[in-house]
Amino acid sequence: MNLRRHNVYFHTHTISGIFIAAVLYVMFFAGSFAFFKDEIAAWQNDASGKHRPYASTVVFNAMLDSLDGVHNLHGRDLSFTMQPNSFRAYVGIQPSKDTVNNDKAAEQHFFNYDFHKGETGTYASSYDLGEFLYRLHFLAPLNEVPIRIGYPFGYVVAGLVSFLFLFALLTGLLLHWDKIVSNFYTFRPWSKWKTIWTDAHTALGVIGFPYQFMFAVTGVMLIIGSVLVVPFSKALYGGDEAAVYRDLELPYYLTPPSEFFSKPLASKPDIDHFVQRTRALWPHTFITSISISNYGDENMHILMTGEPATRWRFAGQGIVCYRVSDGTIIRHKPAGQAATYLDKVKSLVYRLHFGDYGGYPLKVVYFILGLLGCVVIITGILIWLVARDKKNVPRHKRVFNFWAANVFVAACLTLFPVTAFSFIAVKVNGGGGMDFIYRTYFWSWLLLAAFYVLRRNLRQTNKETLLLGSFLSLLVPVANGIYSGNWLWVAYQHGETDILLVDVLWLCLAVVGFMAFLRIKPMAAPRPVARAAPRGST
Amino acid sequence: MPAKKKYLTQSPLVRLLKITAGFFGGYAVSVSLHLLLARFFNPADVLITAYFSCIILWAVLLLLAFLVDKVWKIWLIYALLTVAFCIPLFS
Repeated sequence: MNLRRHNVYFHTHTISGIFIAAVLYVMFFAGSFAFFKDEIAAWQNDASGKHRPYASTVVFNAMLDSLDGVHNLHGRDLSFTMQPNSFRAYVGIQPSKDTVNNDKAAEQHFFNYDFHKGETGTYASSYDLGEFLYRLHFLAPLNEVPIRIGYPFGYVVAGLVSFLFLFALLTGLLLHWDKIVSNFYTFRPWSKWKTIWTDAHTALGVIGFPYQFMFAVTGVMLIIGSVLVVPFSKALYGGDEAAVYRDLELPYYLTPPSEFFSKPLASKPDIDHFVQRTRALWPHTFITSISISNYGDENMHILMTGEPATRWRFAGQGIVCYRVSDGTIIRHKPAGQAATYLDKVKSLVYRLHFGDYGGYPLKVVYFILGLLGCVVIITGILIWLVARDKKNVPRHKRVFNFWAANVFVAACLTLFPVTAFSFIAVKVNGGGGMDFIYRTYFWSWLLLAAFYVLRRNLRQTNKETLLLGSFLSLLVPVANGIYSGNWLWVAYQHGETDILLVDVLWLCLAVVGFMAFLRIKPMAAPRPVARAAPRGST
Repeated sequence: MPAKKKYLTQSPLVRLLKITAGFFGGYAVSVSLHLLLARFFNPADVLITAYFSCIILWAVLLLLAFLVDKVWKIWLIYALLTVAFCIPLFS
């Protein structure tokens, strides 16, 4: 073993790790729930996607008729981004190119549309806990912090944290490389605290390594892909970033021919007809986006993209473009067949990160591995603290270390009860838009975390958040039963597996939490970490 | 048992130079290498591959900056590599 290298790995691992620990914990915790984004949305709105046939529910003509009545669609470009596994779409309506005959030409609209209910909602009102936890996991709420650096602040932080996470993973692996096999089998739970945490950190870190490595790499690219796209666009595309994304075949940037002929179509466009044709062209495929250019014009086109069902094919985005006037197909790349290299690698990036290629069993495994990641982070913080709690460390440093760990642990561990509490709150409240969820989640988090920070007792923080979280978890399915009438057995009878899954997930968390709580022994308490710090920790 | 100090960089300036060399220099080397590859292969294919390879390489280069003993060496190596990879782009 090269001692110098070993110490360099050790130090860089420690510093990068402690730097990102708290934020990374939030990302892992919220991210683990985000695997069930759609299920949580179904749970909150009590609208299961399981027993309503998709094809008969997602109907465009009636919707476009009503939109036409309100916004006058003539000459506009429209885009529909379909939400996977749901009946919802983000809708974009661009200004009309016909400024003469369309009196609302300058207007522009973006909103959510629920095909099942036939309702239009603003983004904020359609916001649910699934969306919230999904966006929290890449720190989107931080974007509202008024720090202007030319890129959304929260995303920059999330990207930087992911990258440092990757770095910490590499150094961690190298650090343990020589002893990786023996460490894997080492767990000494009756030893002193530092040994327990070190063993847990190492064993779980090694088991979770491939998973965490994959998330670090794909995570960096999904959140700050600009670090690559910007230099590529500058060097090879003359600065046109949209052209880069078009070459990557990202659905939003694939647009049909846009030239406006200013000559109305002979008959009213029948979008559903084209949707049916696409469905016939591509079996087992979910249409991910529909982009319409020049609505009602002679040069109207419809472009659709689709992702094959993962049971059928892992990769292979389909693209088809129709000219509406005569129904000819002007571009076609079949879904699921002849997947290009680009398709395959792109599917790897997205599918590995979203865990959407193996049904619920895979998502549950991902969820557990995600929470194990949280354990690795917490044990890392504790090792860092205990390793520095020595007599030869100056007092002011020990006090600082204790407070850092105290704040980190309080902020991290309170997430469990706070998340369970928010699930109950949206049910009691009978729904919850962005405002309600933000207020509930962030205030309860702040208050609870502040309480434990002031309490200055890591052991109590751990015990009490575990107990409180487990108790609230137990109430989540109960709240669903009382306020939506959808008790576990009701959901089971109706085959609403998505709603059932969320309830069962919380039930399992409650059981595991209670078991863990009961196994916390009234052990000979760990030595006080810094003399100034703990109150009543003996 | 924090890492032993005698093996670590002592001067804050040298440490800062190592971090910046690894972070910015590593980024420049990794991105310029992939831009070079995009000259020879389909740019979209290179870019999507870079989603994995460029990020991993960047992290490895960040680590290398800490392992090399003299900080000027790493600045020199990263600068030369970046320039070398960029030459075909402007020729």
